[in-house]
Amino acid sequence: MLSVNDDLFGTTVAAILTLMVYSYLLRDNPLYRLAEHLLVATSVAYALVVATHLILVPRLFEPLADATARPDLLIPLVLGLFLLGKSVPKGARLGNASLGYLVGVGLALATGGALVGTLIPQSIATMLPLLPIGGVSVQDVIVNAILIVGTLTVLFSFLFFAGRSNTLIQEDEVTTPARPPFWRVLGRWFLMVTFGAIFGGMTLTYMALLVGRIDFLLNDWLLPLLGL
Amino acid sequence: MDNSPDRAFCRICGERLPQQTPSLSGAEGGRRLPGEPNGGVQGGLLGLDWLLAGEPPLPDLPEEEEEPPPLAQAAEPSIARVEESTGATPAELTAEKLQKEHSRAVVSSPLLPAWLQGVEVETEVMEPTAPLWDEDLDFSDLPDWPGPEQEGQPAVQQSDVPEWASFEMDDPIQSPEREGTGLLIGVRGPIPIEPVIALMHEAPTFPGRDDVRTNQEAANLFARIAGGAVAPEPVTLPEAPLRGAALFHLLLILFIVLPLIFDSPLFGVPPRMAAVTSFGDTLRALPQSSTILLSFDYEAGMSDELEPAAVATLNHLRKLTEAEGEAGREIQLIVVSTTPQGMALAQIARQKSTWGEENWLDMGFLAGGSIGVREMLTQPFPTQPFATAEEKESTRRQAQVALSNLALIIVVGSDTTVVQRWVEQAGVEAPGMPMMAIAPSVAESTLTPYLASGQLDGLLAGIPSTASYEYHDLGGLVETERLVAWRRIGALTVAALLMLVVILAGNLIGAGVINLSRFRRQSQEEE
Repeated sequence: MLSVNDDLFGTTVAAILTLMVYSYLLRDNPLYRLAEHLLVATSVAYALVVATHLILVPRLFEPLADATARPDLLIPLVLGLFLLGKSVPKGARLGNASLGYLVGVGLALATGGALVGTLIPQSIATMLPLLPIGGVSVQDVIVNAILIVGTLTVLFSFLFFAGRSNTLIQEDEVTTPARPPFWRVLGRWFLMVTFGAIFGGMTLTYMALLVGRIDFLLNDWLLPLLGL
Repeated sequence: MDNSPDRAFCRICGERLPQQTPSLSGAEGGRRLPGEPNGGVQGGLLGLDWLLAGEPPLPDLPEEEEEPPPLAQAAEPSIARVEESTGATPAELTAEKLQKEHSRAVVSSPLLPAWLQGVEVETEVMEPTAPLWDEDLDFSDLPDWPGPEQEGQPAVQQSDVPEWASFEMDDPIQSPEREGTGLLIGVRGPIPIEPVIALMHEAPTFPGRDDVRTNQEAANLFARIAGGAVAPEPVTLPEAPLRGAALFHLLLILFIVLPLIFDSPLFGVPPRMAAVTSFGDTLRALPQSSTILLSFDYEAGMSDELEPAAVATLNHLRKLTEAEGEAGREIQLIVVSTTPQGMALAQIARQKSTWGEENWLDMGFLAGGSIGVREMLTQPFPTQPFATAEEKESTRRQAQVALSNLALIIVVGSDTTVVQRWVEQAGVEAPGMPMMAIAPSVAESTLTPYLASGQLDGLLAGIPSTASYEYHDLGGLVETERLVAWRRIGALTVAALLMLVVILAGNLIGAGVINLSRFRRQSQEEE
């Protein structure tokens, strides 16, 4: 159990590391580099400890060492050892089977999940009423229309085929690209609006992180340190 | 093969020179181009200085019946006149010419300065020497190029000239010159000179195409570097203006610090959003003795935005558990993480909340991403650190029992893909299971469709949603705890407004500067 002093000591270390990272705002300096290397080193070390103590030991080594060992665990052990061959050029072929197994299972799960969990439900969710009947208000109709038009035009804007819109027309001996159709332009505008919303959300996220760090420095470290 | 000593030979290789003696006098006039004044092209063509010099002598063809125009006749070298008067062979005439006239040539050219006009130049006539390879090779079958017709050799007939080379043969006015060398010797003006082709042209740019000059410069630089002509040198980039950047950073920090010190939201109560309302309502609608699967799937770098929402959710659940009467719930929490740091962050969130260690079943780290999620929903396997085998087995049995009463899944994810993973895998393994998400602001726009489709029952996106949730759902419930998001919303609003102003002003100023520089460049080009 951590005492108050221990907690304050840890908070002080965290505050100093935070200030070392923010010193990069002035310019690149050794303090920032030190904090950066500490972050990378502790992250890698932590991941190694987690993989060893929470995955390999309890799920592989301990069952194999037990008297009632599971022989089926030899298969993942061999596959894992083969995967280490990827680090050596001569033994890279050994890891192909392990990598193929991992990629195959991962892709199967991802494809099934994307189909059942995203594509079909989202397609169904786009089938919205466009008439103000049966309890559907005019405002809902307008929103539904924008949603449907946006979805369709964005999908069509990603169509790539050899048509007039993709060819170059020649007028008065000057070759100019053909003007894209209206629906494709509209789809691109919907995309731009989406990208703008994502950019706004990203700005808000990073501002929230900055506010959180300053709040930590101020209310969790500096003011308690000064006894205020 | 005529190796007569009367003929001239090359000084270097000893090869016999053609029987045409270039005139040292440039006053005879150059080749006259169609449309050009007398005297040929006057300057302006790079690499075409030979047009300004004298014209080599052109032998007359005996078959030609036309009389050369006066200009061409005046430009005829004296060698032709000597031939007519003496009747000597061309080889003899050439040698005689070299010895008698060209041994003392008079320089006269309108292009030379006055002090060089009339200067006599002594020339040297080389003694003929046989070429080294003359004894080994037999050139008897080769024509005596490009000399004029010789005895026993058929003259060039007009019918022998190909059609493409004789299109102006019958028009001596427009093209009075004759070809002096090669197979077309004697033909009048077969190929008119196009001085325009020697001029430097800028590559035309078509509308709708990118300007490739910059790319061409980069390609030329790459070609020079690859060819070894230029050694690549490191480029020292100019440092950013420190004063302006430091001023902006100082201003931003000041705008954030002041609302935090005064602990003021500045802009009043945040609006009650539908997703936030649904989030609170879903928690309040939980049945008795239900289990909530809480997944902490974020790294420490995102904790400043996600941790307040997670702490607020735990506080809300604690109050629901402690409520008396019908509002009270017996809630069991199963905590997992698909990121290694998630386990520690879950413990930190619990310590900052009012939720105790009871009814907190920590399943540890789920490896494998989607595979781990699927495994968690079917056959849970605890991976708690520092736990004995008996403790893990006990945890596993508790989890199996609790999952039978699973009523809700709450995902605290650092991005959209994490939440999508849970939605997709739970949609396969546990269809219809209520699910809610806590995500950063950047993921709000991409997770909103899952709210609309009913796959998500609630969403807390970032500090604004959390502040609204704290104010409307936790205000009055948590008396002793400080509402973190509610405290930060004022500073975040000011910082976001400042960033909005900076982005808008930067774009407007940048667009103005670009348009101004473009206008100046166009004006300079027009001038």
